[in-house]
Amino acid sequence: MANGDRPGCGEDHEEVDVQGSFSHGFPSGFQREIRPARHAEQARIRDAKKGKHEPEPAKHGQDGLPIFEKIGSHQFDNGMSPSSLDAICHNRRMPKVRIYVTLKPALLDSAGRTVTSSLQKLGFSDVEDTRIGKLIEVSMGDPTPERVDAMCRKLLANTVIEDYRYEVIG
Amino acid sequence: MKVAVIRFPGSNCDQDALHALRDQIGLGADYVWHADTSLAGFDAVFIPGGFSYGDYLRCGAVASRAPIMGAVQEFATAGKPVIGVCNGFQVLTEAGLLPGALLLNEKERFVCKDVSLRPESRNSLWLSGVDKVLRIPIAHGEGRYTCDPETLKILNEEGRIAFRYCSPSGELGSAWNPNGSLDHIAGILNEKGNVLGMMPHPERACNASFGNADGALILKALTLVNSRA
Repeated sequence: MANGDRPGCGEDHEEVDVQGSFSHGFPSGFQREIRPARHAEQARIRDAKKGKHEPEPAKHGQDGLPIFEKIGSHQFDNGMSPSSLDAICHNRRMPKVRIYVTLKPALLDSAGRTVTSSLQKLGFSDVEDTRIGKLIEVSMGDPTPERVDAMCRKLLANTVIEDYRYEVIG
Repeated sequence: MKVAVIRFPGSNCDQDALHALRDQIGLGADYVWHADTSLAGFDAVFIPGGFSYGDYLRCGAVASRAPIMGAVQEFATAGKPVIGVCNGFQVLTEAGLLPGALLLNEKERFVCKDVSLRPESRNSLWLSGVDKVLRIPIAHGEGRYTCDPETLKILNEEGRIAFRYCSPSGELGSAWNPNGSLDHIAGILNEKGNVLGMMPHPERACNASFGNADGALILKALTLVNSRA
């Protein structure tokens, strides 16, 4: 058994596409935050010079995720160190999709009912109903409606019980 | 007859399932890791309970998109026996192999106790050995089955409701429904009857020394299946 004795450790780097693009590899979001994406930063620098946005094709590894390479501060034209850029440039140029997933109105939201009761006990006696949903923020390069809809239908929302809506920001 | 017990990160009834299938029912059984893509050599699939992927997003949502699920889909389409218990039931609904969905229990609480189950269908291999009201434990927080009225009508008309929660003598009523499930549904079948999803844990009730062996009446059905080998 390759990984069976360590469930949950996420060591299965082998990527097999079953129903679209969900990755079962190691969560990559953390890696992405540690170092600035070279292609994104270069595009940003170039954009500033050209005055228009032409994203450079990203290099991708076997897992389909962008390859990040060590870069020095001399490559930045704004005098900021990579570490301070780390803090602010992550996702700055990457469009963000804000997806709201809510339980269909006809279904009983039992957790929401409990919250209603709690709010009423706190003195908010005019509270009649509470519905609890999810807010999912996805940073992605190409948030076309087709792709965001596909993402929601394939994974983020279960349309048997949930509705979703979204907005592209940034 | 060899049964594949699918393991996801966070499955926690996998060992119970393997033990019940091997040692109580006497079948061949082995684990299959979720990142595998083949079920070659297996004649049935058991998707065990647990908290696959920590119930992130929704119970069973991430697991239902795991690499092995492509093979499970083919397996089910080919008419071979598939059972999903508890989180396994949630995985099957999320994968679209069974209709409907499982919501947070009506009273929000995690419920862990023995319940009575009334067999409701004669259309499935899985119920071929069940001739009485069963006593089987449940242990879940999200077991409130729901589906749209049209689906419920179809499930009823086609005899695809496998089990309903009931009193020890078989009567239905909200007092016997532990989670607010629609129409007291505890388990359902797919169109062909080869895929069974149920919230109660038959693998936990396969040995009389543990209280009762009613769960074995369900799992023993697999002994009737001709092995491909």
